[in-house]
Amino acid sequence: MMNDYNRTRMDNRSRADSRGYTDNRSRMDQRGSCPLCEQNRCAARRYSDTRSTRSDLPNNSTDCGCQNGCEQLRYNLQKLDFSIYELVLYLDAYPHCEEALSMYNHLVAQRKELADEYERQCGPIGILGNKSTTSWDWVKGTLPWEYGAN
Amino acid sequence: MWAYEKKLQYPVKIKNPNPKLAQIIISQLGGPDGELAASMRYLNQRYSMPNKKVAGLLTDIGTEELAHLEMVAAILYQLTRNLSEKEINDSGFATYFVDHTTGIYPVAASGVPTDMKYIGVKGDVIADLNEDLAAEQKARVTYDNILRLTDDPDVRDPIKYLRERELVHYQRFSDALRITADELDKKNFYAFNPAFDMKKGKN
Repeated sequence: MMNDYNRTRMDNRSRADSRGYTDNRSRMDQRGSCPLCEQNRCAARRYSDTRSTRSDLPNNSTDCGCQNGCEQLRYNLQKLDFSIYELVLYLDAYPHCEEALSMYNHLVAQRKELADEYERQCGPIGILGNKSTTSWDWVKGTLPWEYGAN
Repeated sequence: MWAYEKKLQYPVKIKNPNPKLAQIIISQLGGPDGELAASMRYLNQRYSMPNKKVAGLLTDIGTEELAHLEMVAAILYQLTRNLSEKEINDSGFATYFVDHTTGIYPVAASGVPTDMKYIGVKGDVIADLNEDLAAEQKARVTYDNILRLTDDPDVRDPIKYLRERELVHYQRFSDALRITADELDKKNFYAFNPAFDMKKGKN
């Protein structure tokens, strides 16, 4: 029930404006924002497109799909983490609530799976999540406070 | 210890910079009822909590406030990007700009830098939890006031999220106060300070 409630709440936010705009400050970062994108050369194409575009105007040439894949995964992770955090606060006050504990366990299992997928495709969430043995991805990618990271 | 997660708790995606609005919202970064004060209040109060449930709640809510601090900073960062000198002058942002450029510095909307005088740590569970309940309501009112002052849906969305979290925290602190009262002397739970008096004879 809580999950449905959260999904509705989080989805109220319009996603229509979520692509096609490049923040001037994050332009350089975006080249390495998604390892999957780099493999597909999407990032390189996006970078060359944005260079010729005024940074304060919407840029409609970023529809390579890869960045949006990471964006969707990140959004799903945020929704899941929101539900988990809500249960954590509830369980702090009511540790004997079996229903809440069962929901918590269910969501944490989902979270592990989703976080693993996200880290493989989009880079580490935490310092223990650097999946590559040859590259330090923790300092790559768009920073969380950038327009392009949300 | 703490571990950082490289994502916001809730997305912040603001199309149109607005330095005037940033100067108002900055109060939730460094103002009297802002997220920095909130996290410091709870994370410092938790050591004298006699109940593990309440200490756990303060740890987890205090941690969430740090995530909210980052969200408010992200709002400010995006509202002040790509500014021209004219926009800085015309919006009244110049007084902040001259000292901090577009860096994020915790001040109240009035320009007063953040201060630990904003928080209280009394070392008494009933006094501290009552302060926390008031703090959540004061933060909620500040978010209400911000919502009165902007029409931008990109800004209103994360602000509404943050406002709702204040309500949830208020509910949990209410639970904490009830749990605490239940465990104290039922006839008079002001009879002693469980964080101080109970320690005598132990440890």
